[in-house]
Amino acid sequence: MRRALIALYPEAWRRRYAEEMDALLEEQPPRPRAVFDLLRGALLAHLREAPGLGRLECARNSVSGVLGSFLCFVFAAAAFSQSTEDPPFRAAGRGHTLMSVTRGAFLAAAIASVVALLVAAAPLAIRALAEAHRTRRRDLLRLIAAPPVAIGALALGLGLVALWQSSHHGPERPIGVILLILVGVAAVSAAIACWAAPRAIMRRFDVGRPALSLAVPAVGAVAALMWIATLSIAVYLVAILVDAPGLAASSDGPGGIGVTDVDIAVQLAAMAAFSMTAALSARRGLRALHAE
Amino acid sequence: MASLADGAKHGYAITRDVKEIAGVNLGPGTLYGALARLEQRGLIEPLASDDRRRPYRLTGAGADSLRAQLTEQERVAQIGLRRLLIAEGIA
Repeated sequence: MRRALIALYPEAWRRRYAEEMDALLEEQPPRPRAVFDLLRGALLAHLREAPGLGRLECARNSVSGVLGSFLCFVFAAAAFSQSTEDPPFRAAGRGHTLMSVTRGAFLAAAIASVVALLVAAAPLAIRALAEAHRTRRRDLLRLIAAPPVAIGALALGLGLVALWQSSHHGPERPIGVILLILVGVAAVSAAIACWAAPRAIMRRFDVGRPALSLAVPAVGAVAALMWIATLSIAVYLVAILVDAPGLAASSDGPGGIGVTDVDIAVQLAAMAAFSMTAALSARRGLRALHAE
Repeated sequence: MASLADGAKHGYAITRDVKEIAGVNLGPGTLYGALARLEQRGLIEPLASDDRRRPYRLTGAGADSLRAQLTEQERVAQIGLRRLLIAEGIA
């Protein structure tokens, strides 16, 4: 169990402290309170700058950190879009300016954050392609191809589900639920591929300072846009509670098991948490580049 | 840091010492979080060890910082105690 707890810490941290932490836990086996303390310590270690890291390694970790936070953010943002896309919400948006403006601001920030992420990814992908071409490394090519292939497969899955839904009206059928579960699995797989592949690429060869000099500020912009989207939803939640209380109290989610305002509050909390981790990661990277 | 004032100690010894002098159960996550921060700030440094348990000691900057903090705490404590005495005298 103590090995599993130590494994939750970042790799750079484990390189430096795992052995002595393991020795401490051997002498002082963790009780429930110490387990909680270790979980909290692991979370903070991920948010702080790891000890003994080079500046460029810090910048690379910053890019991975923002990317991971952004991908988690996307799930919460997609859930918000799903909760507020039905015709009654569109009708309420037409009647209440604040609701339509904040939802529009959320969508604009979401689109801009994807653009900023592509700007961050471009120099790294170009460097990786050049390296793969120069060294004929197939592992790099496979890693470069993984995110677009995963996103393509997910888009195909979503397209098939939309096609199925358009031709099958009425109550949800078992096949529809199975399709949605499959799309969920595909979405999680795509997110893992999009996070793990760039991380592996940056570990397998030195992407260099020029590429990171563009990537780190771009992920800083991603983090800022995530905050704009989150704040837009916070205002949207207030607007729907004040202007459309009936809609806020309406049922939401699969089978109508949720309540819209509670669901939006949970989605908002998740987005705020991921925006915070993204901002902290971006700050680490910017400070590392600045100190170089 | 006060635990390292009388010499180098490893993690387990620091935990026991903090429990003894402050009555606080220092969790392993909190302990290593603090050690990492202090090391990054150059206030403590690890010593070479054959053992898996690596001892830490205060650096010169660490000793100066600890002295300054303790002096400040002592000053505040003295002011507080003096005011209490005056208040009790008036009562």
